[in-house]
Amino acid sequence: MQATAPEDSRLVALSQEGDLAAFNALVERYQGQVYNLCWRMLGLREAAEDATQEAFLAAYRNIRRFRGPGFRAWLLRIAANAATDELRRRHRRPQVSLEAPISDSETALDLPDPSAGPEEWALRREQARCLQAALLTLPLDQRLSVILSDVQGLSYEEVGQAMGSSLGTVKSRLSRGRARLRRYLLEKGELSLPGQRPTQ
Amino acid sequence: MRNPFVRRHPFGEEELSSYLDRWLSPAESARLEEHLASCEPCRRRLEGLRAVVEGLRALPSGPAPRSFALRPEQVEAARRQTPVGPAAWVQRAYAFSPAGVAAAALLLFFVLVGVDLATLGGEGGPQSVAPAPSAKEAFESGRALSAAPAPTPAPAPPLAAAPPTIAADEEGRGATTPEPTVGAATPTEAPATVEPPGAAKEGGDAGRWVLRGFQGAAGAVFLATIAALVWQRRRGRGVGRT
Repeated sequence: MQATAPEDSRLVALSQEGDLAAFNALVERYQGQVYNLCWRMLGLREAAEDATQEAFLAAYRNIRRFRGPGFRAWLLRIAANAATDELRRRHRRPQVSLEAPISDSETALDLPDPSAGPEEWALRREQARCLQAALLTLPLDQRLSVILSDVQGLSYEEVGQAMGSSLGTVKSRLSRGRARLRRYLLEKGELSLPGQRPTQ
Repeated sequence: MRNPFVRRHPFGEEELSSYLDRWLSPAESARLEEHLASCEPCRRRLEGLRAVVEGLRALPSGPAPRSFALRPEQVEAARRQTPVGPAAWVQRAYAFSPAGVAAAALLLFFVLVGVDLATLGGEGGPQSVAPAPSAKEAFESGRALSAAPAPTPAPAPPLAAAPPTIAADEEGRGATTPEPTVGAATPTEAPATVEPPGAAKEGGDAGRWVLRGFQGAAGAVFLATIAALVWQRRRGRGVGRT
């Protein structure tokens, strides 16, 4: 199991005593990861911002209940719940369709390294856009496991902590999610296999 | 009989995915590699999965578009939303494990049913629950029944006259209790000390209905908690949802 880093432990202990500055230090440290998770789950910038803010508020309200072992996994679990709630809220009151094609402004996060050549840059950008669209077709549990493991690079154990699931369940969701993405991209003709098109 | 596809391609998506993450044991990996060496479709599936995983890992993770640090007024607003007093007590009560609440409700239900049955047996007593006749008695009564017409049961004495009371009659004849030696009870005092049997029965009925009301409530709490558990499981409730 991924334990809380020593610096995190100190900040968490201070936050549990009501120290807002210490909690905000944790926010600064993890807001990129939390926002990225929400953005990948929702595919909309505004919705991702709302979910991220809600996640940190919920984390602050519940920080006294945190007993370990991993603060990051605990926080990402709250973020995943906030994103799921945001998704349901938007499905109940649709202002912007979550199935709508992702616009250029929404893919700001997917902009690759501009140091690559223009052709490479355009290719990577298109691939990122396709993958994000494919992610949004997955059921929520598979989407979350794929994002946590393959996009955010968490270990199986941490994914299990963040999802409140066993290792076996994580493996199963992850493999089904990946297989579904493979089929989706094959159908769309966007899967680049070695020898056909570079993936990186 | 196994599916011909599974027979030809024994490694499923989960094994292929675990292989990519190096989660298969050395023996399983060796078996898979041996199969891949001779199976083009499985090689293509594996390469497809590898391309997906590499594509996902290459997705850029940009910084947050703004700071999400909490401001004191946000925290204060969130604190104001947190209920205090009785509302907080209710929320804490709901914070108990639903499975525990369901188990407690079920236990209470069975305890109340047990009390109800025990009370029913006590009240019925000699009238409603007659002792079972022995085999000999049953045999003899059967012979008597076959020899003579069935006797009509003697009419039961009126309920009010059945139990002996202190005030049996005006002169005290038939009273089962000894005469008081000091200060004889006046006729007006006697009924006050012993409740009329009809009233006792009505009281017992009312008590039973109250008991059954509690039984119903416990059963309803049990069913509602189970329904809430199912709903919560479908919704995937977790940390941070308040």
